[in-house]
Amino acid sequence: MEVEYTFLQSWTAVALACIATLIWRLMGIVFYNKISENGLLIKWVNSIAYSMVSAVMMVILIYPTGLLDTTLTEHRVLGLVIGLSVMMIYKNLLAAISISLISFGIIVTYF
Amino acid sequence: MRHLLPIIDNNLYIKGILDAINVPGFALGSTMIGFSVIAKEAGFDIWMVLVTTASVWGMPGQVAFASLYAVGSSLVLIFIAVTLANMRMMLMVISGANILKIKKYNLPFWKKAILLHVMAITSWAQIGYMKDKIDEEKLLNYYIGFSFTIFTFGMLGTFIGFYINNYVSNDLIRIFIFLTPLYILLLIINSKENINKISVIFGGIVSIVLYPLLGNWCILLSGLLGGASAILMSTLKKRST
Repeated sequence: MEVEYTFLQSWTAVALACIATLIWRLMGIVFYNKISENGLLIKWVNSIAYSMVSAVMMVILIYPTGLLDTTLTEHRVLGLVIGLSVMMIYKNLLAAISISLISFGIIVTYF
Repeated sequence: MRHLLPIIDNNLYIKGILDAINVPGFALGSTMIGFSVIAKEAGFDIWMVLVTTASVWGMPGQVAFASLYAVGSSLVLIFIAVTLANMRMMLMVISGANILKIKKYNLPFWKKAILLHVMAITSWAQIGYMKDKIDEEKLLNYYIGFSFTIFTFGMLGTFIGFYINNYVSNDLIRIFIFLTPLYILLLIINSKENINKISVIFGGIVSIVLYPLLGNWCILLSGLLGGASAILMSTLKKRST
């Protein structure tokens, strides 16, 4: 792949990516100090965080980029459904992950 | 690190390390292997990959960065894209700091910054899962052991990933990349509080529907809609009982 950046531009890009993350984390610390620990606002923030994390993970699973994109959506969904089913039946996180991962491996390799 | 940060229970600190040297560490290490493969293809050298993982420490932002870098995007566009991709970090930090009750420790700002810099989705989901199993006052000990171990796995995965595709087939790597979303989704759906479960279900469903229309903006909107719906349902349920 042809790289169009100079050495300085490449490292400026890395620094900007770092700043782009740091801003949010530092703002999180500042806002946390100003929010009541048991109020409705923190409950809402917590709910949004759960929803957003779930959204990020579902986007990675359903609309992936990179290597995961070389697998079929049906296979990824099936892997997730197997994991959720084992989790609901046996209430065991490690078993759910192991069985789901092995199933996914078999499905994407042989089907 | 343990001399810089407030550890008062060594057993929990070690439990955090041991829990991390398990599925979470393996999952995050695999994810970072995947990132490293993408970044190498995009033109990063080993130092750029390592510094990016250490300083950004958030997969969506890292992937957005590498993807835009690969196509020679402007630095301004890279900055905007990574900023938007990492917006959720603020909410995760607020939520995570609240779970850990950071205020009680009266830490200086820089120590809080270090503690919350290493908060990945994995460690955030883990403390949400463990908060009912560990004394709230001591959860920070567990978090320190867990999150810094996870960070180490992430850095190792990044390093290995840069060279691994010379030795291991992509068919195998993609199976391990599947591990991170799987692990985190199972962890957060397993939350004891119904309001969190509702948030996870709403957020997941809304994001699938909205992604084709809004792209990555769907994550923010799914968060807001899912969070608001969960709060509303929880409030209505409390009033009716």
